[in-house]
Amino acid sequence: MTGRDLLLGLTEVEPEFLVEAENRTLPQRRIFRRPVLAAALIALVLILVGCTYAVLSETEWFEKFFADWQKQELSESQNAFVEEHIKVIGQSITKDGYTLTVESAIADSYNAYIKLRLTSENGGKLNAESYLPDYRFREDGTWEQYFYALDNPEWRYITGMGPSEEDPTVILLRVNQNERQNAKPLEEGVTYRIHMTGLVGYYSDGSEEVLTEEDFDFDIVFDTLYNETLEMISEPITASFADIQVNVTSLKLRALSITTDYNGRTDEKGALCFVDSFVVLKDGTEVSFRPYILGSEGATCFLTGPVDLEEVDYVRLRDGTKIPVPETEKSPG
Amino acid sequence: MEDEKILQLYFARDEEALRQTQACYGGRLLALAQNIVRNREDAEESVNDTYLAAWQTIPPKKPNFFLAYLSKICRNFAFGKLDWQQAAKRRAEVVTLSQEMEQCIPDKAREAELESREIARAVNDFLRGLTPENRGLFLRRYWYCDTIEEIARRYGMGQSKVKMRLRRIRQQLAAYLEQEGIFL
Repeated sequence: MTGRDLLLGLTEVEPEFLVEAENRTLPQRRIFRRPVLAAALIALVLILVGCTYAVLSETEWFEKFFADWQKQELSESQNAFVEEHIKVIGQSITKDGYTLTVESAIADSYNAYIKLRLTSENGGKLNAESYLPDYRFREDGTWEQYFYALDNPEWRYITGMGPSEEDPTVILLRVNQNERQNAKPLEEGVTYRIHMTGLVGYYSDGSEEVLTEEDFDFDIVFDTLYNETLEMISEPITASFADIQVNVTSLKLRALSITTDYNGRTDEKGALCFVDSFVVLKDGTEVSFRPYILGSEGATCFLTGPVDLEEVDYVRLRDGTKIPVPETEKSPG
Repeated sequence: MEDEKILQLYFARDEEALRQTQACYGGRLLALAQNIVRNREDAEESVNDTYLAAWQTIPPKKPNFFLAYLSKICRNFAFGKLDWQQAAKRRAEVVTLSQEMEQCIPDKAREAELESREIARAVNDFLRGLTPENRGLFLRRYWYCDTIEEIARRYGMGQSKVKMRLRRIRQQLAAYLEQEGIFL
């Protein structure tokens, strides 16, 4: 069977479906071009009281987050990526008067951003610089994990990004799977647990406050995960920075992250060749990326904005090397 | 003229049926055929063949959805006239569509030979599980062979969003066909 057979075989679909598709008319003109403009007007007012993020939908929140991070407005394809791949969750747990809500998440197969919001039920002020969940050592010397698949509890890198002055109640977790250590990719349909080992506020004056020692466990499933991969290297290339040079044998591009393999050094400095590097989209948008998990034989990088792989034009490394998209099929995972 | 009245003309063997069919649906049928063959002459032939087939089959057939009935006939004729080799040389849209459909076929199914009816049954089951909007997007692209730009305009979406949504639906179709083991 071929794609042509499938295309021809579609002729006998239910006639009701065709009527439905035929009768679709253009949406009626609205007072606002997009419903978000209504929220944007409210947000404009609330900017005066410093609540810019507060009234945004989950999609808008991530769009603003990525736009701020990549220091330019998202392109149409980037906005489309966020709209199509955001997972709105809305799970809340209250312990000792503090409510944590897993509001939304967005992920590719090796990198996920999970947005949580912390609120106080008893009027306590939330003005800590960080509420990063504390690693808790077990008696056997291992750490309790934040985020793991219920059926395969392997370790994942987790960092917290937030809260910020603009949004003081958001905790953003970045989960990264180390592909280079053969870690299993994130998968659709698999239940993952976010395990928060209590809540501790870390303040700008160096003080800490235990808000609660109770644990929070959330179970989430990614069903909008972007699982495509684009291998950019068809033949090894050289990347350099100052007197550092590496031979790059693989650069796998995904929607939110990059995994690269290289050789030529015995230390981790080869990763410096990938600082100040960009994924350039066909519309000219430049999305920077930087190494995050370093090794002597490669690095994992995160992108400062989402990327639809079909919109990628080339990758530009720190030394100016341009890596065009090769003539290969993208592969899942 | 309403479909019911046009069908009555067919049943009465009144050739006014054909004129009314052309007046009501000729434009849409021609657009559908042109989306496939990208050739005015072949498109017009497909539409004329459609009118003849309708005349020959109604009665005894009395379709509940007249335009859908005509459109299916027209689509079959148009694909029958399509020269795939020439289409490939011209990089015609329909070639792109068949390549996109290729992504939906599980590896195990590639060697299978299936009748159109079996394919349609599987796809109908899948489409039933989609939202009306996604169902419409899929059919406008792969049934009506609309361009991304045309779909974006019809649904009031950006083209990137249409492309991304269609990709997701294709992935869902591939997963559905694999999961259902339809081709095994």
